[in-house]
Amino acid sequence: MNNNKSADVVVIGAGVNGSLLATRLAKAGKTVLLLESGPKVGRDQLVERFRASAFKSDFMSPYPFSPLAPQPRYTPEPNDYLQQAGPHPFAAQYIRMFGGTSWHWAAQLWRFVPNDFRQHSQYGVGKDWPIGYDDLEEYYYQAEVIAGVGGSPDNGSPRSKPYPMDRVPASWLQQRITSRLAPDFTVLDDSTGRNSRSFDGRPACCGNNNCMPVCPIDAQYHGGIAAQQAENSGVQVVTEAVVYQLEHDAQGRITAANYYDWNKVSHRVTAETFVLAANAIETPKLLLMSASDKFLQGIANTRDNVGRNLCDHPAISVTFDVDEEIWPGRGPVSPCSIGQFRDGDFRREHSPFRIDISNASQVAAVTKEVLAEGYFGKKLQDEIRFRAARRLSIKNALEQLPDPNNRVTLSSNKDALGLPTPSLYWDINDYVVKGTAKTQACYDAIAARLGATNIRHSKTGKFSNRQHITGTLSMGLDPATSVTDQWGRAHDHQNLFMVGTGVMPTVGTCNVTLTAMALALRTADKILQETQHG
Amino acid sequence: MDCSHVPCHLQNSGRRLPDNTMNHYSRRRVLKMAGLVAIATAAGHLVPLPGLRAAQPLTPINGLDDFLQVSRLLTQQDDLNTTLAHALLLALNQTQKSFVTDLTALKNMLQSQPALLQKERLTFATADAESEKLAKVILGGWYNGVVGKGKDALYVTYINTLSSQLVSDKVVPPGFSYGPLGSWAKQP
Amino acid sequence: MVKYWPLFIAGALLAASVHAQSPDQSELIRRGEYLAIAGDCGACHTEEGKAPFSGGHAIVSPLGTIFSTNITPSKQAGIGNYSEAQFAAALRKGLRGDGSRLYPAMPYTAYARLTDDDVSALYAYFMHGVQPVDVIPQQTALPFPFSLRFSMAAWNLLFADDKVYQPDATQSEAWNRGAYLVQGLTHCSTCHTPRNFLMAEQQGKYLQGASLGTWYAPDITATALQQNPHWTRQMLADYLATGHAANGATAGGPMLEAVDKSFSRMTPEDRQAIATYLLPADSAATDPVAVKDLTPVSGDDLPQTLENLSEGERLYRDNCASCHNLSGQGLNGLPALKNHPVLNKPVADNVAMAILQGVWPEKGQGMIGFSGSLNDNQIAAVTNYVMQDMGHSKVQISAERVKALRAGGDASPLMLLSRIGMGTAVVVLVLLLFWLRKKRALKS
Repeated sequence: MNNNKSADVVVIGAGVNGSLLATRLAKAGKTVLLLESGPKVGRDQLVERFRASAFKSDFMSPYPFSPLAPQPRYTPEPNDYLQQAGPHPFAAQYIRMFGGTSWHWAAQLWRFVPNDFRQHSQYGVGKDWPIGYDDLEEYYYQAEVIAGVGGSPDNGSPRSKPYPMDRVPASWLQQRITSRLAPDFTVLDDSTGRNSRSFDGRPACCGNNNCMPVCPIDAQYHGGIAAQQAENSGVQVVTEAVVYQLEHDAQGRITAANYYDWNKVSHRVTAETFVLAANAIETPKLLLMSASDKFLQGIANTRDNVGRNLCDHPAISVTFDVDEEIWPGRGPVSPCSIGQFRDGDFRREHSPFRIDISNASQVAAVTKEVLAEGYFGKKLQDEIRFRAARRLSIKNALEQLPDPNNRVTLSSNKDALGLPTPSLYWDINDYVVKGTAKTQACYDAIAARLGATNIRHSKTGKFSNRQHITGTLSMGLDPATSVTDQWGRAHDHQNLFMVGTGVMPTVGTCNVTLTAMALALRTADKILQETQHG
Repeated sequence: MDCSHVPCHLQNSGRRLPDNTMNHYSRRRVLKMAGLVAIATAAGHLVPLPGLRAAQPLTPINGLDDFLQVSRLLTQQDDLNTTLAHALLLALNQTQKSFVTDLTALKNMLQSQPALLQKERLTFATADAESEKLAKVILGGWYNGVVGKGKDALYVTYINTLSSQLVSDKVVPPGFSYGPLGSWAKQP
Repeated sequence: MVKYWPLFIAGALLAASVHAQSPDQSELIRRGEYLAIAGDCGACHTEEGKAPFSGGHAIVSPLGTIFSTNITPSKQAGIGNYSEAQFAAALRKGLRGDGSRLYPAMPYTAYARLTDDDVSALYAYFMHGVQPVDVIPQQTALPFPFSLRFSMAAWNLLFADDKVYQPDATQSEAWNRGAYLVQGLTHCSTCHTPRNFLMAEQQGKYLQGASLGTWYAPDITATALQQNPHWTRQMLADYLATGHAANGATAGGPMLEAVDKSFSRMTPEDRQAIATYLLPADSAATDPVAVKDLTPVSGDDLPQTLENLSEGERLYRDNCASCHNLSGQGLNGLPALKNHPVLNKPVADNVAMAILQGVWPEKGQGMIGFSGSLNDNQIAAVTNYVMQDMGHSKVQISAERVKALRAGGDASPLMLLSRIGMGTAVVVLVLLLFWLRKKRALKS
């Protein structure tokens, strides 16, 4: 380290992507300072909090909340952190903590299909990426090796090497559903970072069925593991450090980051290179907060693209009771899905989608349902057991096209540190609505094949969020319509890079983390290549 | 902005009890699982799990007898666990003012109108809507292990809910292992 | 068992090359391969990720780190130039081909039991059944004075017994086979017999249990095996095959490695033989544990209880209960801790080691380790909770001992003693020299 800088590289945000990048840089000999706004909390504490929670269906409830690094919360009541400015609420959910949001996921680690990178040239909708599947393929594999990913290989994403992890054995539920839905529907193993053998100092899955909100034994890969590996690799981690401003020089080079510790004392750190990894809402917030005389609209925002093109996978769902006992709750929570609607010429007309079949225990959900219907006594017992044995819960992930009007801006509200909170404007267009009609037809066909009763669709016109937040820091060839280049480098600032799902210009047809991880590793390599000559 | 809804006394996760509490759990009779739950028929004729037994004698609480009686009527189970009933009643008192009074009203209603419990569902007269709600709250406590709503929701138990017990031959509560890798492949 | 002791004419075998082997030669090599598995040569001589038997595996001893040698038939880097006699001398007497001595990390004191036929078979395997690797592994350099290998000659004189196994005619064939294996190839006493301060096995305490610095190798004499929780021969055989036994025992640490690399790959007859030798009088079989559909998760998780948990119990619930159940009852094939044999030992080291390192069978369900997430106090607390509450044991562990376990064990007193000894010797020598000079000065 030289020039009295805090480090060669400062990374802001210790989620999975920031941590992977930090680890790669540190292993190559860089000094890296990783700043995380939230605390470090051990897995055992999260397990304890989960078990004693009164809101178990809220996956955020085991995670600590602090007004100093606030995040959106919905139980016991929705908090005001996010201001909803659009026709559809964008009910984002993320964790500000060492390890980030992927602490509470089901480790779904999918590759895009090749057409996801070129939907505009291929189907005349949306945007093309500045890179293609082939540019990312080797990085997809590197990320899969790090996370221990396994799944069904015939899923539309070509592979140069087999999955590094064998498949996790399918539960009875998955076997039955797969068999009964064939041949109309092909049920695949999900691509997941879930151990089917001891790997990386972590044991194989033993069916805690608690992937969301927390795996008690770390059988699945998540950001907490990535962040710990960063620390073990020599990255200097500072938690409870809320970055509130980026400084720059007259040439637009980023020179420093200022952060508050949780005693509200301000600190300033400097580096040659800065990497933002604070998620697709918090990073735009930071950029917008860092407005200066030279950059009135914020850092990296001369063309007013920061925060725009906010996308998620809007989702609709259905539940029903199958005509045989399948007993969800045995094995991992998200083991399988239907991928045959991810790609095809229909993408000209309507949204593609993946259909996720849940294996999460339905006992608590059916208990609430049956109680609400007024049952009691023996009949209550019978109904709970009947439904818990047969309940299938299905949801989808619809691809939303980027729309510059969907955006993250700063609200006029302030948090406990006096920093502005995010405002989200989100709308759903016809492309998605037509996709939901197609999905519902699929749901009904699936239900019919399974002899289903008690079919309940989610409310028409309403969508839930899958938390696959993209677009707000879009990479692109044209600075007029993008924030970053193909390496995640800010068009406006030579030494400022961004990783995380925010740089993805489209949300694609699957969960987004593996793509973001691959991009982060690629960005890390780029930084190393550029800075190796001093 | 609230902390996540862990009961207040558990929120300060930094607190640790001193090591000299080593002896006290020898007095505590922890639940010992001697056998297994046998399900005789699919309809769920349940052999109950050995019950929780309290560490020390339970502090007397007003209304426990009534609460147990009402709970037995509503669940149609005679062998409800007294320790759990005690904990539920404590929590219900915290979440609802005048719980014991409302409970007495519900008890009297159920005793004076036995036909109410002959139906399949709880459908009380409109005038008795509050009692119907209370009945559902009580059932919710036994079956979900949580009482109260929103900010007032209180955790009481997780693994000892009647729901968990009901399905314990087929699934375990999430957060506990089903078994070694692959054990979930066979038909339950 | 008898079929593994065929008669061969030793001399004719050596000329055969790897490819043009006579059927007898192939059979000899195959037999040698089996014997190498039984002797678990690979545990030390095969380093993770490197070619088989190419050495370089670090064996941390209280005297320093010993690196295993390359025993492939490489002429530059291995034993390619060894005659069978030299090979036999290394195996049985700890003598290297160049005449220098091996440290008893190589259990030659046990392999001394090997018959000539078995030595021949092993020789054939290592000469013709193993790929030569021309890489010299890292060399051992123990601190002075243990770097003086010739000192091993004295040690061997004092402690080594290099007699080939003699069958006991009063015992059964199975017992004799078991004795031959246990005393020889599977070298159980290397771990399970306590050593004196010069690091030699105490013959009067054969198999009575010993600390390996960190993990503890328990007492496996028949008396101990018949105590609670007792072992039957079938349990022992099952344990050697799978690492699990019907009395709740599960293997961890170095024994698990021995099961994975050696015992699980031996024949059922050989495992039964070992069990017969260790338990000459079999115990009555216990009633089989009822096969459960599903172990219920049970325990007291009411708010008032959660508020009053001891540190150890809280750590247990948060870190361990998801697999071992709230009161250690186990869960559907995941091991019960209640009455687990590991809790019935004179030290709690193995519990703490399992918690520190985890348990990692080659195949199957592993247990995560907690050295990165729990500190010494916490590991001591949860170990003591498990020992007391689930094992009903009064044995406890201190945070200091956990710290030592993390570091690989306490240092051997031998180092300190030898250095004190050396220091004293130097002082005496210096004084002697001064005295001599004075005398000479006085004379002249």
